[in-house]
Amino acid sequence: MTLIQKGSGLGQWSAERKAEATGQKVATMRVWRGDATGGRFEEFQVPYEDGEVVLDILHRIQATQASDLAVRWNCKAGKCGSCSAEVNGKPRLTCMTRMSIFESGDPITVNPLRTFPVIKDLVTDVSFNYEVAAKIRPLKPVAPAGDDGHHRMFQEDVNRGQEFRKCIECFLCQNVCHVIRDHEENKQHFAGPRFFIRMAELDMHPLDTEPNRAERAQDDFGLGYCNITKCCTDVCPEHIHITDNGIIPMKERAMSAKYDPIPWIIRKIRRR
Amino acid sequence: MLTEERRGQVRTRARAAIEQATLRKDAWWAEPFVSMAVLGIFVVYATWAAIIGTHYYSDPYISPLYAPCIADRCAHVSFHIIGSFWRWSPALLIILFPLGFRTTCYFYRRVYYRGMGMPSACAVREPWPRYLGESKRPFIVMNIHRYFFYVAFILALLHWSDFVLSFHFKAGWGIGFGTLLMGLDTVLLSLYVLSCHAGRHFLGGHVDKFSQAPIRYRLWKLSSYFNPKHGPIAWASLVSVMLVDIYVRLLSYGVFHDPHLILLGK
Amino acid sequence: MIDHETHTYDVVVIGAGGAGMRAAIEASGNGAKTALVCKSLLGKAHTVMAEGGIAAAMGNVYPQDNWKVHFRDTMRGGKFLNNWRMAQLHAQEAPERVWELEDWGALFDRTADGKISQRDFGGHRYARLAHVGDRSGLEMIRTLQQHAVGEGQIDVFMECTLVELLLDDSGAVCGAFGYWRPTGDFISFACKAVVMATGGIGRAWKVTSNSWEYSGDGHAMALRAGAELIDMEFIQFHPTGMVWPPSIRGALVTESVRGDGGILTNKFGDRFMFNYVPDLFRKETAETEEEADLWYKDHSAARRTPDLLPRDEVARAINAEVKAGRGSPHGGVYLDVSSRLSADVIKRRLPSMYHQFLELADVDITKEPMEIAPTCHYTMGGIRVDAETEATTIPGLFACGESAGGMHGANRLGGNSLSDLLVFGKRAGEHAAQYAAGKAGAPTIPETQVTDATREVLAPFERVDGENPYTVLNDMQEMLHNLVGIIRIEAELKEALERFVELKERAGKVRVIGTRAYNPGWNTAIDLRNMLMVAEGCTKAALARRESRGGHTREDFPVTDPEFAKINHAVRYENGEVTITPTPLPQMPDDLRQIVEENPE
Repeated sequence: MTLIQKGSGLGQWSAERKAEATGQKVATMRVWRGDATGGRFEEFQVPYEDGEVVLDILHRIQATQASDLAVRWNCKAGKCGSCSAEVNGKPRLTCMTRMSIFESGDPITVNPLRTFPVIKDLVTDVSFNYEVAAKIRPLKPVAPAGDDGHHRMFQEDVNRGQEFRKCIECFLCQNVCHVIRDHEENKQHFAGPRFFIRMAELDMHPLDTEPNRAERAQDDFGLGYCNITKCCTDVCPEHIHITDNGIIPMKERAMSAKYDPIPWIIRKIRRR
Repeated sequence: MLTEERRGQVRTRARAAIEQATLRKDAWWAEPFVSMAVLGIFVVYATWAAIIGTHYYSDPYISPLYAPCIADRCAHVSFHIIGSFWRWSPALLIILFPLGFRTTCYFYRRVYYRGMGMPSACAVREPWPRYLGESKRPFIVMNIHRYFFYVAFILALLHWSDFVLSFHFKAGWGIGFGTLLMGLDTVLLSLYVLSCHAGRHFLGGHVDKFSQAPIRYRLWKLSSYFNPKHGPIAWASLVSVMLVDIYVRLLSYGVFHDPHLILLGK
Repeated sequence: MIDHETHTYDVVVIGAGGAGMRAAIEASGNGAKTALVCKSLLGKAHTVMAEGGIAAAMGNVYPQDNWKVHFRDTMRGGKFLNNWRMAQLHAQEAPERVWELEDWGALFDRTADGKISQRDFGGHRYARLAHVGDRSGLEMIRTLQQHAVGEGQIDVFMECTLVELLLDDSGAVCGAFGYWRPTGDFISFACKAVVMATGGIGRAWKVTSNSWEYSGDGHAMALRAGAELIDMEFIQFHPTGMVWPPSIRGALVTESVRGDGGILTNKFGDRFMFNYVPDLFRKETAETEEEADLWYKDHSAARRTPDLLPRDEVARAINAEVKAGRGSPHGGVYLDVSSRLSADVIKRRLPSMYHQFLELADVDITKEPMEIAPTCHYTMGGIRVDAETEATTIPGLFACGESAGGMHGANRLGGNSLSDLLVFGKRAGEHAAQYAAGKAGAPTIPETQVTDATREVLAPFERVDGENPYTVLNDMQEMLHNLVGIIRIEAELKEALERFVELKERAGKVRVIGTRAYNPGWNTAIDLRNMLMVAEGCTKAALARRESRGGHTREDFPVTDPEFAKINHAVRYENGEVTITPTPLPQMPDDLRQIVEENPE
């Protein structure tokens, strides 16, 4: 335990809490409705309160105006990554998008993720991601090193992997990545940011013995398609440094394995 | 993993039919526009300043575009490597390295790829019909960045010696306004190299078990501390290089004199 | 005959949270052809919401910890109503299940000597929860998901809702029927065994940390098929849910906040928990603030803080403070970690709490206290199972995780849920596979049952007028919140039963618009039926239990009655009615009784 102070003070809390306006406002929501055969933006006038998020408004539309409006959601607290959509053109979790960030009165557009086939309304078929996930070789651990028959890893060994494992698989990074967003044909040879950090996690895993993960990322999963324009990092709701800590280190590791003679020479010398 | 039947469930696999290239309402074009403008100004200025081959030294300051100066005909020779046959600007002998380092830098790549519309901004449709990124020629050559890092690392060290020399006036040791500018430039360039992604990999990022490589772990942590600021540092060091060059040039043309803040004598 | 696709498997696992995935991995590993069917996308199940950690007596932080202490804590936390054998197996097997996750890729936080770190939690004598910051559930579900996918043998049916179990002539399970959510097309499974891992029923309450999925599907399917539920009166209200803003009301605030040093205070800044220590825990609880604070630094030098009493005690205390007018502006109390830990430590140990409050409530928890109040969180009760095999009273039906009952008794300790999922998920998968292997012949689909089920689920489309299903859902949530909440009383429970009559009638008349393709209105209309059936069981069991114990508090019977310690209430569905039958609680052998009753030190 660190830094426990005595007493029972309330920190720097003051009674001047945020003003809570109780007056109700009305939002103009333009929600894309349709399916694979076509669709259009449909306008709804929806009352809302301060503190509400876009998903609340979508639920209110379901409860009062269109019970068949298709929206994917689960936890409503930014932990499951189900409610991904594009709000005013930006990929977002609708459960974490406060209504207060929008100018009141301006219409708010909500449309489904544009990189994946639409199922209905705001729900898209994200099976591409599950197919890629199935192609990645799982962890191949070493034998336990501890005298109790269990593994030993230290915090500094797991910090990098833990950052990547914060991923909630909302697929916003996959959606915003122009490699597949703007070029459907690239889906055949490109895994996408979510899975590059998965590969990075495994490659940096202190227990993993699976060889050549970085080369495979380059050769089989299209790491080279990434031109590090960093939109994946920009949209990540978990604030994972996808590009700086995941993709670029993987590019460097692939570089070491494929093009750079110096690590190869060092390995040779060490073996002597 | 998904059964074939499942895939059959979604009978047609088409994206939502939305025509607009983007539905963003903010000024998404501003960032690439401004970045490319600044980059453009630097490229034009640096090209001119490097080709002209004069007024790059004003005792004791040397323009960073010309450092280290390695031709015999240099106004201020750092190393005698290239003989007097070299009649052109000595900057041309050296500038390939910092230029290559910056061109292949992961941060600048982001900047100019965005400037080239690949894509201009997030969730804005790019205009190119086909895209291969850095998987094929020409951009696969970006992987050369690491070699430029090795050279840039040495150049950054040499910058410190130029910085030390900038204290050494004809009248003795001291500090001029130019010394401060050189110092700022040297620190920024060093941080730029230290925070480099290739450097971060070189210093320790290649290790899987940090607990068994404590020194490399510390070096990696040091690099990682500055790495998130690599972009701002890249911009700042770009501007500082240009500033020092302009300053030296103006001194050399005699537009004004370097204010000596402290002079200790011989 | 209704048009529906049919699949044949040995084992069908319903629900893909921690328990379902663990069961599927084990069933598949034991050679059974296994299907995993879930209502949402894979990896989105409620397990991701678990924050604190997995309770397992590995003894990494306190070597004196062992399964007996964990068993004792679990039984005392459950107010001795637990199935003793389940609690024992759970305590014994949890460590192995956690270590196994490491081989599958989990990256837990570490101790200084490289072992899995363990944190303090309510009701656990020693720091025992294996964790990753405050996103332990995510780590667990992702690890299981990646392992299941990596093995490549399990067929996953995502966004597929099952609505009815299918039974053969002997009354044994022979399949399940449901629909694809994306298209609304019907699907049926012919199988030898079904593992129910559908979670709880928290969505029926208004203020809840649970998602739309928690509609008691598994409970209701099992009931209709003739199985028994037990302990349904015990609903856990987690003491710390968010209260403001209104849209996020009920969202979970992890117990780790208190485990790591956070304290509860009322509007006068008093640490009120010192006034609510029950006799059962008095000997092992600190009496002064100084002692409590010392305990955080050294467990052997002082007794534990009352802020970390079991959840039922803390929830009741908060409720009482608010009722007495000592609450916060939005009807909660304060949970403060800002004056206790440095901002850096808070951000490192409680990152998702930090972001949740900052982004959704404009509260910086490193600078100011959180406002919290109890929220409906967990269903202690569930389908009655055999402790060793997780077999229910119906041949071929197994249950595990939150949908199974018995393990937690009257109140679940924090951290015991994730370990429950792993321990009993594995057992359920193993025994379902064994059962399937021993069953000869290919399963067939009884078409008449499918026809009946389709008629029922399609009915809402055929009505020309009727309410929006969401209206009935909201009324039910409001009603349960008001009448079957934390504190219950006979008159209100009886009123609730009258309201069920009306709500069931309205639910039978709801009308949905649109097509069957991804239609949440229609899906809700189908789920409503399940929620009403199971919640009615909860209410009837609550009325029958004329005492207060664990997650069940009766204002009219405020004390614990030893007579009620001997029974579980069994909920059954007979002749179209939900009924309650008292059944004897299995009594534990003397050696275990000694462990439970002996006082530490």
